[in-house]
Amino acid sequence: MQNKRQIGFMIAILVGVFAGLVIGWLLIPAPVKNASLESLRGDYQADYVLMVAEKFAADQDVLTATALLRDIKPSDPAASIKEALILGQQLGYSPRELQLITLLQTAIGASINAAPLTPTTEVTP
Amino acid sequence: MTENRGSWYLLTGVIIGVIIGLILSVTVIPVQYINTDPSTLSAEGKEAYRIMVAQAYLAEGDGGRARSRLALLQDVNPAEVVIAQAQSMLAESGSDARARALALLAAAVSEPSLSITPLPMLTPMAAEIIPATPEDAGTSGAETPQAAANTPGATNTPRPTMTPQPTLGSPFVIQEEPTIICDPLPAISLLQIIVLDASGQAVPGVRIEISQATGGVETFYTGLYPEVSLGYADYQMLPDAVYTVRIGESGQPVTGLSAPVCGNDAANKTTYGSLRVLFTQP
Repeated sequence: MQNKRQIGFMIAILVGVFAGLVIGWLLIPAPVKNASLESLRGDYQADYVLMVAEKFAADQDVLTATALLRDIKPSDPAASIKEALILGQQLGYSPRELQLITLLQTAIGASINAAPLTPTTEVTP
Repeated sequence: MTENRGSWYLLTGVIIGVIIGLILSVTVIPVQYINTDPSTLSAEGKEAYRIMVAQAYLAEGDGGRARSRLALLQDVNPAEVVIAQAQSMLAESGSDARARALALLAAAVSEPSLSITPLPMLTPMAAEIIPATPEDAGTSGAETPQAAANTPGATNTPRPTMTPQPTLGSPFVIQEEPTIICDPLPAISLLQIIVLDASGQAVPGVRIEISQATGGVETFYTGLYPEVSLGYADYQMLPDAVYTVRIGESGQPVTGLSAPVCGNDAANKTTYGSLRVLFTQP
């Protein structure tokens, strides 16, 4: 009997935790703050990529441009450029702006292709 | 004797669980937001965004767009925030180029009519726009060799300097003998520098290099006090120190600048005033 009550108590706590999480996430969520650049909406990210492209057109610094793009897409900065091109076309970016982004894409694509391969350690059986 | 405690323990368990769940949802596993706007960025994110806006402004010279982008952050006073960030960056010996970009951005926000010369494009604008499709978006950057092949003449030209020059023209020269300011006696002895272009307009974002005979070089920029003038900058002087300043990248060094002695105070202690120096382009 005692054991049954303990199990019931634990299940009640688990149900309560679940309910508490649902309430905390959906009903009274914390206000949006301390967001990262990565979480920006697509059109803002596209504008960020355009800013990087504008800067890149003036200084030709591929490494800095790549580092800046990692702020919005840490895993694949080149993908952020492609997404920006797609959104830019949909949002009516001017041909010049699209050209700037394309040039950035070209330079970063070339730098990725030119990067030396990381030596791998051979594992002998 | 048997004890009948009913099922209240279940309600107690649920209440405890709800409290734990609420705490977890706020602290340990809070809601992860996506598709946010720039105003919700963290302080570091906003700083990075401002720097990006400033550098794009420096490259393009489009003040209207820079102000629109900055407005997305919803700062109460964008110019003050940008200036504070630039000053903080200089104080921490951060990137000179970024601080200058922020100084110019602050000037653009304070003075909408201000226009700067965009940086020259080092990339030929002959690249063909590669139509991107949504299917392409998921592919990795390593799979875009065609982009390089389709871009004629995109040869990278080494940049002569990483520090952009916002205004081109003759070197800045000292216009007249420095003005000594003793009345009213300033609380801090300042070297006040005002930089004007050939047409008499204040010039923001001009790099000022100051050094002492004992060594050490510091850099600061005009434009960080737009409430005084876009071409104004100041530096706190130490008594008895002699400074040399150089305005812009090609200005001639002006030597022998020091805090002027204004007399003695009630305690018979020497008091120092400020020095105002005007630089112009001939």
